[in-house]
Amino acid sequence: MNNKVTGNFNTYNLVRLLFAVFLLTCAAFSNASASDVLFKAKTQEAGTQKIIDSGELRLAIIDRENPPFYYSDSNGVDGTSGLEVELGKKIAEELGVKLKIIRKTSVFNDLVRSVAKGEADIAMSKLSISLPRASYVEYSQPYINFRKAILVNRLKFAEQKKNPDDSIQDFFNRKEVSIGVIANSSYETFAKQLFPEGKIIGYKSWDEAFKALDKGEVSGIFRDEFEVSRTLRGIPNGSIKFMSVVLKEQKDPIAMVLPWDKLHFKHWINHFMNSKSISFNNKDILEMLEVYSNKNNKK
Amino acid sequence: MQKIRKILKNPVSVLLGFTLGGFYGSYFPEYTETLGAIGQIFLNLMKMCVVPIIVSAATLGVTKLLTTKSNVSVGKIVTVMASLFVVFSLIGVLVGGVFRPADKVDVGASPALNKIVLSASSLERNLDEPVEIQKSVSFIEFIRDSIPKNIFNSLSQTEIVQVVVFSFIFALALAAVPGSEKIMNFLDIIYKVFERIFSEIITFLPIASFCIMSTNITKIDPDAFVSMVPFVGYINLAYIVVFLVGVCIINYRTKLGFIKSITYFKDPTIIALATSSSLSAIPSSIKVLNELYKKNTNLVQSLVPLGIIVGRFSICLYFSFAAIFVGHIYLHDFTIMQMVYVVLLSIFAGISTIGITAGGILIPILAMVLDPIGLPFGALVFILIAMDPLISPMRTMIVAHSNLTMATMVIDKD
Repeated sequence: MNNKVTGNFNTYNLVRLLFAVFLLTCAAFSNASASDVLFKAKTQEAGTQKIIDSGELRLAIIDRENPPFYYSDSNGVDGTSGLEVELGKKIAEELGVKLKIIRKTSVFNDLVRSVAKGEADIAMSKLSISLPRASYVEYSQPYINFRKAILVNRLKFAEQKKNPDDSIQDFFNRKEVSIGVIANSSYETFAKQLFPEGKIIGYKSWDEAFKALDKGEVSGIFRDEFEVSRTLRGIPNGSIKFMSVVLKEQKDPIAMVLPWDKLHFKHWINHFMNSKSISFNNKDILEMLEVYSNKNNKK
Repeated sequence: MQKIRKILKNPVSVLLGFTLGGFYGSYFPEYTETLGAIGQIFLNLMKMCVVPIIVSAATLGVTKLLTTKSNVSVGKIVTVMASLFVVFSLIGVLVGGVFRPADKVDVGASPALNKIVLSASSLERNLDEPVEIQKSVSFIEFIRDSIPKNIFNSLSQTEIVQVVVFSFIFALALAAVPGSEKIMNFLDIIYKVFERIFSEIITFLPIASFCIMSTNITKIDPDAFVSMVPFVGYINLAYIVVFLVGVCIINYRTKLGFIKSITYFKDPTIIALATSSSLSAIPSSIKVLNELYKKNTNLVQSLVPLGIIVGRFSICLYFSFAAIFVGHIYLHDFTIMQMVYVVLLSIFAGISTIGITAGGILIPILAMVLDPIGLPFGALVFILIAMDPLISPMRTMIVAHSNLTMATMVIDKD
């Protein structure tokens, strides 16, 4: 046996064996550190670890007031409270970091861009998922499921409808009927999609659009069901003059804006939302608004 | 016993029961459930008699009119009816236009009204779904639905228009068939039997009206009522005016004297007021008119069921008044031409409510008046329905009384 082995053994084989041993040793020594480095680099690139390492979660919120989503409050985080600050708090807690609120801009597109530029880790401000923005940021899964709605001037509707059984599409998809939206908002895009024949008028703000509706300059104004029902509830005699029509199949999901280059962070956020069952609808938000208003009235 | 009967039969006790019921229901709403059931027993007993009385009276009346030579002028009936429609509709426009109750109503000030309207103003629709779901019936559909396909079904479902149409067709054929006296005698006895039952039942009208009113009043939110007082007040005022004009016409035609012109017709008037059911006023309307026009009972028996069912004068007044009210709520200024439209459209809308008695179904038909003028109605319809328990008694009373008035205009004194 021995003879046979010895007999087969030659210099070439010895070199091959030594080389293999060398390689194995190298591999054994290098493996732990190299894969660790590789892993760290990857999660850093994917985002989550970078946030943990930095010790803070930078949440960008628009510099406007919109309770119950976000509003200035001396008792809040960095002077801000609201549903979206609460969500931010929960995420930061789960990551084991501190929450930092950034409120620098009052322009929605600038807010979204600040995430794309890496100036914030996450942005929330009741942001609808829109296709143009999706080209330079990532969206999480929705945390509020709104539907689109139209606040209709009853008098204009009665005057301008053609048939007693006119639908929303029959009514607004006509040249002579105008619908108001906030200029350059996602609702301007939606309106163009739903009512290509209709006359779409952009206003600087929702308040201005509402004033136009009240005067009868437009027959309806278009936004999500929350804003529409809040507006309707807010005016005395409102329900006599206006009606809100929620478009049942037209969803308007509200989601968090995340950086395009931190895919792991996006997946982590989605897992987080699923495990904590974070999902609200219009009714929940209206209840939050009522709680907020009652608290403010007491003050 | 006879004394108690006399007290119960007095219309003052009915009005007392009616008023006390209103107070009782407002102060002790929690105890009205049993009272509601008692009131319902009474209403059911009355309705039990209504269909047999209509069938027998109408058939007898029409058959006798055709077999005996009597001088009925259909033209006169139609003319009187048409002019009553116009006058009632016009009064609604005038009272609504002159007193402008809408200016004194502030819907926004009442949380209860706001709540009613807010739920009616929050709609959920698909893009291609009608925004306002309206049920309108075309003329040809109305005619189609008036023809019974199964008369026993119509009788059992109290499809009153179909029952009357059947009675008229049956009477036409009966008049043409020789030897129809047996059936006529049979119908005559049927009529008398149910007439008898009915007059026994209405002895208890004061108790019934107490029960009915005490339950009806609980359906009204006092806060909502307070802000709608001008509407409720002025329409009831309009009905009182119409009632008094009717009394004057009756007095002129019958020469009974003003007071007697009221008291003579107290039974049908009070029944309609206390029960809010115009059909329940048919039996006693026939009875009192038969006594007044002994030589013309045939005409009375055919005219009264037809009149109460088709002669929806007081409904027209309601529609024209409410149309002006809705317009004023929306700060709409009516042109003379639009007022004429309101008068005419209210007549059409009123006629198209033939066979409809429940306020919840009747009031949405106001859309027939508002739609062509371009006025919205979706929100206010629910407020008007909520207020109806305070309006329907007078409205129904005027349905009965205006038809008594019409009868005195059409039928000449013996």
